[in-house]
Amino acid sequence: MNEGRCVKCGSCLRACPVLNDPSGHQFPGPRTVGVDARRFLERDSIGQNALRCTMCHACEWACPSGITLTCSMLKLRSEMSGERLPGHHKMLENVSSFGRTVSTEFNGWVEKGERTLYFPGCIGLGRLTSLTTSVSSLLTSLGIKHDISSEAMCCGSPLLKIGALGMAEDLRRRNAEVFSRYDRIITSCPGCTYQLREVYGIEAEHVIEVLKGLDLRSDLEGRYALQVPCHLKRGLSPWTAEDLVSILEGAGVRVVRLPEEDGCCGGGGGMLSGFPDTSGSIARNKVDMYRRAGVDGVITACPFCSLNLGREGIRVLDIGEAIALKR
Amino acid sequence: MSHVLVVGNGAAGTFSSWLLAKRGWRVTLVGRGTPSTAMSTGCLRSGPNLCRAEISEFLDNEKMPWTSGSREGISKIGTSYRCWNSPSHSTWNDSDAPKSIAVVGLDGHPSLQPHIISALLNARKIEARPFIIPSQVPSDVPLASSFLKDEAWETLAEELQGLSTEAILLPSFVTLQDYHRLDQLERRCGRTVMEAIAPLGAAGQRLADLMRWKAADSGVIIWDGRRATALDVQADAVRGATIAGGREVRDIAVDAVIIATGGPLVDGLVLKERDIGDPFGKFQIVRSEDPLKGGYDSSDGMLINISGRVMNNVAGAGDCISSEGRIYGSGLTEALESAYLAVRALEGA
Repeated sequence: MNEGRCVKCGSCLRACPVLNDPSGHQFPGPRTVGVDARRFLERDSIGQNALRCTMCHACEWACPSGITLTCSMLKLRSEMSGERLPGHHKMLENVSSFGRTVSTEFNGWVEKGERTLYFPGCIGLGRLTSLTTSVSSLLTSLGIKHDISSEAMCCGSPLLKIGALGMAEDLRRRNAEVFSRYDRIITSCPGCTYQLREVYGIEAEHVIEVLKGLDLRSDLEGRYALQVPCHLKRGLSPWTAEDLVSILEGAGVRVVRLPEEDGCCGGGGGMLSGFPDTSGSIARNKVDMYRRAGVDGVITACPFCSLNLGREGIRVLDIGEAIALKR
Repeated sequence: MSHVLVVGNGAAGTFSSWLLAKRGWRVTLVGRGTPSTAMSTGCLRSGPNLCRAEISEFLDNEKMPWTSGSREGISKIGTSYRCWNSPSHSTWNDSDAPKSIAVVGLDGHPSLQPHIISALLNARKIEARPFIIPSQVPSDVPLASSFLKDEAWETLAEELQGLSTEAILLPSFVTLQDYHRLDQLERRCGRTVMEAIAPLGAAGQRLADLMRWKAADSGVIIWDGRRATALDVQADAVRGATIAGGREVRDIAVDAVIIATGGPLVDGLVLKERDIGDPFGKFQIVRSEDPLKGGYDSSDGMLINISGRVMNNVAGAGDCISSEGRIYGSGLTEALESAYLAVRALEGA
């Protein structure tokens, strides 16, 4: 940890999507939680408001000193004691009983022993099953035969975000056994991709990386803005986030670039389950911004972004739903 | 078309990128983190001796008009701030100082201290009085976030309606997108609306945004959130660079490089105890009694490698260059001037 490099410039505060949302003022801010709290003797009693962070990496991206604020906040979360938020408690209960953070609605499992695994993640299997079906058909049309395994559980990323390290490690062990049967793993969630690479040491590919350079088309009419996922741009690679744009433009989508496109949707870091009000407020303000820009919809590449923005009544498509192979 | 890599996203990096792009270079700008420019007051204290026209063109923006000459503004702690070039609401002309000012503060927020400022202005025979607006914004929350919506500006205008002073001094919280709202407020209240001069806030952020957009508009490819981790130096020239962003690392070929990474505060040069070093381990450093004045050694804008030879395709610009004689507060102007010199050096090479 490198919190000692803080020069108190406040750049992280200006970059924070929670602090800058009218509903987010209870969050003590990335500087207090990510830098100062690490030095408090009484840090384990900092309180649940410290969890009001979407883990979007915007503070880390803004920090001139290169402080790994997200790591620091994750560490603090693992050290915090006290009652869990009701939403987080529910998440842990779900994982204990059936291995995923939300109940599974998907039933199109493919377990044919293919060499490639498509890993949709908890939201793709529980909330946005049509996204998962679209990505799966797209992969099939590209000639990528794949399994969708019912044995693969939550990647563990959301559990790290709420400080449940032991449970995340259990999941990693169970998943590692399943993953070992495959040569290639493709995901549609940047959070899962990040977790697989960072914690499992598996070079999983996000769908964008699979689609790059292919001859694609889109049937979308109208103008679409982007919701660039935090864990894609600031986690995996800013180049991959740029590929999202070039893939869409290459497929003929009219993409409207907005300066706010890479701002957090409010859905990450356990906020959606822990503080749904703040999560919703951030999404609402973002959707207002899209409406002001007069676009017909928003394209993203993250199930959390799709879910959280979609709830506010704007048309949100995943890249897997927005494009198809050119025939 | 020759490909130049510019390392650093502050004033020196964006200005040199913009100049190079206009002169036909293919430019890739790499930079991570908030540059010092964004932490500045967003004003140029001293008038440039070089490239005045280019600087004016670079700063020109339809959303935020600039004024230049011998001007004065009020800092967020009430002191007089003199500068050469500033956004139009920051300063007044020497002959045009307001006779009376209402100093607007938000209760409990540290953005502006109306009582202290009023006392200081009164001592200078400027009639001033504090005007406190109730607020629930915690001190770590940037004030700009409270003024994102039309309704907030409406409320502010209503609050200020009854004031009878010639001018109104507001805290600095206006973004580049919203700068025109200060004109609207001025028309609505019928008073001159001034913005206090403050570092670490909206004004610096505005300037950094403006510079980045200007560079992007001229065709510069901006690789934000990425840093150059290594340079491939062969003999006296750089041939390639390694760029890291997120979990990805890429090697690129380059024909020339401008290093504009900023000083040891924050993170441009390596700072260890009171010693500074070159993060690339390729170039000579001039050490000074004051580590903040040390930096890369250079000869006519070009950096010097560790064997003491002048590089033929690497120039340095801005705060990472050693500058023994720097005058306090001249940072931005000097950064822009040195960027101009770096570009000239590359063009002459």
